[in-house]
Amino acid sequence: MRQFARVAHATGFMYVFPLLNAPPPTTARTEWQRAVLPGSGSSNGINTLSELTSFFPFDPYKLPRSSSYIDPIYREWASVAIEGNDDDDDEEGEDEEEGMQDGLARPRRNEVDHLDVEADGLGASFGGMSISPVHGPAHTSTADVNLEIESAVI
Amino acid sequence: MSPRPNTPLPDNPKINHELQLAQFHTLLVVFTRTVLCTFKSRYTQFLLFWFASRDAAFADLFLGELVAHALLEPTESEIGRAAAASYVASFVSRAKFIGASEARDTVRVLCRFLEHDVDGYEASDGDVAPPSVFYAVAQAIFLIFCFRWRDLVEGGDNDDAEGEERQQEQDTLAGPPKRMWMTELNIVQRVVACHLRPLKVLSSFLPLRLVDIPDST
Repeated sequence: MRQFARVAHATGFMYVFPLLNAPPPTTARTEWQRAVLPGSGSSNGINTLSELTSFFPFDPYKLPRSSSYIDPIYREWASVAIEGNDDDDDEEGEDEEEGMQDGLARPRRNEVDHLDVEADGLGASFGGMSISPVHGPAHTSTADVNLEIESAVI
Repeated sequence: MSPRPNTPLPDNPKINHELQLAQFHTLLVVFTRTVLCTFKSRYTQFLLFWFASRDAAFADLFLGELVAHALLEPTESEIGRAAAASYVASFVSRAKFIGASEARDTVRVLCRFLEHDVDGYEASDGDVAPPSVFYAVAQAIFLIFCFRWRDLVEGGDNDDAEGEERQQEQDTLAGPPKRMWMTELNIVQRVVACHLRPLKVLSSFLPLRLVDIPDST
């Protein structure tokens, strides 16, 4: 969601950061939990819920022998990321930066710089490795833990 | 071009295509019945991803099946529909062979679905919550926007024919603001601001994971 907020802001689509930090919705979360998970409220239900929304089926393909089939038709996050999102592909970022000078793009460096640190966890997750947790049990990757902590702090 | 499999195929292109179409239909049925509902399936679905890249008709079939499963089949389980929405989001975001117009069409359908839900919610004065698929679809739009925002514009001219040239025209996209966001994205602004607060709800799932991490702070 923070990634969406960053892109939406950087492209001049809309500014939604305050909505991320808004007070918790009065009923929406419980409605969602009730609808998805009858008998939710247990920690088990919460786990299922959070994992359901963090599942992205076409996360980066990591099987070495068959990846040659997928790589040519697969869009990497680094190729579309707005400069500053990732710390692992500066060259791609520069290309984007050229296209971001004007038009749809708006100056946003100053506004979002302070978010870079917060979003690093998600940036890494989007780009280098995977959006969904990759390493077996859902919450063990460092990126995920960082993101969770950051979100909790916010 | 993607690499070809080593298995020999018939020489006749027509027979070849029909054969592949039949195979794809079979795969699609198996996928819908088994893979789609498999929690956190990691790689099996890439077989369809690759297959869909072979022919625009396959990609269209696959995407159509996913969208229909997510949006048009109220008898399906909520989790199945949410999973299908995740597939839609991930597929449109990641597949290079899904063009700009297909991405726009998908977002258009997803937006209208959300609009319908929000209409119902607001007409009921907040008494009737939309199905939970609402949040899965909202998340799908957010993800697609992150990956495909360059394609989600409508200029004064007809840009539907430019799908294959998107990569080369990124510079012009950034030119004077003759292009505007596709109109359906206005719905997203309304959705984001409504009392259902999808951004807040979806992002709130992340800290919930902290439940599992003792003393993580």
